Amino acid sequence: MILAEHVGVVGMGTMGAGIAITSLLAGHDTTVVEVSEERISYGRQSIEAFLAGSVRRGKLTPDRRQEALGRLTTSTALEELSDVGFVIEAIVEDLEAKQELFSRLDDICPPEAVFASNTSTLSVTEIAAGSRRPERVVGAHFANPAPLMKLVEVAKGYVTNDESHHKTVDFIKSLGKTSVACRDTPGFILNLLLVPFENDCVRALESARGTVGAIDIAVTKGLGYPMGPFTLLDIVGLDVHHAVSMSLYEQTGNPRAAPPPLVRRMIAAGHLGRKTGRGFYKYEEAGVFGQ
Amino acid sequence: MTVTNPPSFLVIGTGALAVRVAERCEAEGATLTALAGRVRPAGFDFATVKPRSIEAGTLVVEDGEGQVADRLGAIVEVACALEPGVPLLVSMRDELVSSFAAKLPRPQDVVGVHQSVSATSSDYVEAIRGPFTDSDLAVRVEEGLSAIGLHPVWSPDRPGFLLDTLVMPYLNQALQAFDEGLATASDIDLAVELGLGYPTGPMALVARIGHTTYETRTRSVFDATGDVRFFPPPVLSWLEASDSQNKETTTNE
Repeated sequence: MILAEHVGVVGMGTMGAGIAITSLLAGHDTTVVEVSEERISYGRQSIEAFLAGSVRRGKLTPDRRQEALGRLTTSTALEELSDVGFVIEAIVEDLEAKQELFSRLDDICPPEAVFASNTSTLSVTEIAAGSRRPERVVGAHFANPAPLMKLVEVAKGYVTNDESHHKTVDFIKSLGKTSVACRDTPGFILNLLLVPFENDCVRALESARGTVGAIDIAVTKGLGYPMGPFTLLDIVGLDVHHAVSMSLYEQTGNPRAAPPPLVRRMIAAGHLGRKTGRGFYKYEEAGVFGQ
Repeated sequence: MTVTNPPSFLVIGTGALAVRVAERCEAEGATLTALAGRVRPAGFDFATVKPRSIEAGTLVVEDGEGQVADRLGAIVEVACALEPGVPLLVSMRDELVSSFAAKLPRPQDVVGVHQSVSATSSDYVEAIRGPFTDSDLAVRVEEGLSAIGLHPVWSPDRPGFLLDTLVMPYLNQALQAFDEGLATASDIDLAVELGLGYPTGPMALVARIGHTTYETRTRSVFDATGDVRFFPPPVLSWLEASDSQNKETTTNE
């Protein structure tokens, strides 16, 4: 059973806010740290909007929503994490930034605390190298959107000890999610397979192998996938996909991970997907997932 | 000429596509004439059906056994017997329409149809225009297949067609990652099913296709294109051997 009554989340973007929601709903006191009050305000709004939506859809009682929000603390100071048992970082996907964060947390968090990284494309071992307790650093990649998806990929770094790994698995279980163990490989399982597949689909479009509609239909009707690659990319955002692709390409050297030229051109044109009202498809209203 | 609603089909052969078209025709109340094998075993043979009397708007599906090259004589015989403008849908495995359409009397009436080895739905069909295929006829083919509940998607006349060229590199990478110890086969599948909502993970999908069949198909695309994404991962040989061992063990029990 999980030890961590007090959970720390660093980063309050889509993933950080999503992880915080799962932690709050699981009954953990949760402190979320962000770099500015403005970002905290945005993140808090996301959390409140999600919980309100859950109440509207009958997934959550108003009392449980209030209880969850009562367990939420936000701050711009990492020092607020001085008594946490489990910290999950969901900050920018940048190795140096993550290393620096864990280095600072070394001085703040209790010695027994586990540091988890929600990295999607970086090496857990390299991230852990920024900490003076690399044996307590674990990769824990939540599938997006975190509040809705059951999966968390868990990867040990080169020197991660079994105790930290087990605590991470127990913590994920406490969230009602399923952990899958994988090796410390950039992209873990999901992004290692998904990102090149999406890029292959974009290249198929570029090379006139199929239209946007034909490829989406082929994937949904032929394989039974819940949505086609272009529908998914429009939700994710082409800028986000480009960043993940570049990071994965730099880490693995796999040419299939490199973002195709069409992605760059669409970004230059401002066609980022749903959030700008146009990506591979046109949308009447701009918006992001969950709004 | 328009497709009748529901359309009328003449099905020749006993391949998987022929069977599926026949099943869909029966489900949708479409007129079906079947000329061979288990689709409609009794009462028909090619000599007595008189193809020239086929009603206008009928779609003819040829799905004999083996590669197109092996049954080209029979396909030519069918094509010669049809009225001009009657669509002839030729089921293809690895060949391209451009490799045989010119050998038929009216290549403008010919459309290739392909069932992807990766597809998990038997209603998914890839339709391929040849270099001479008439545009209006292509529209009629799409309407006709859609009318009986199939999901036709146009694919270019290139090796691997559409879906297989999207899926095989993904499956090959999953196989390679498994071989390199990324995770167990079941954990790879579980991650993909839970994290992406796919109905089947890549390891289970390749197993469902059959390791030997899959190896043959991805190698075929690799041979035709030289694209390394389609090179069969070495672990397939190991999995094939494992399949054989399991089969032998089961037989001996």
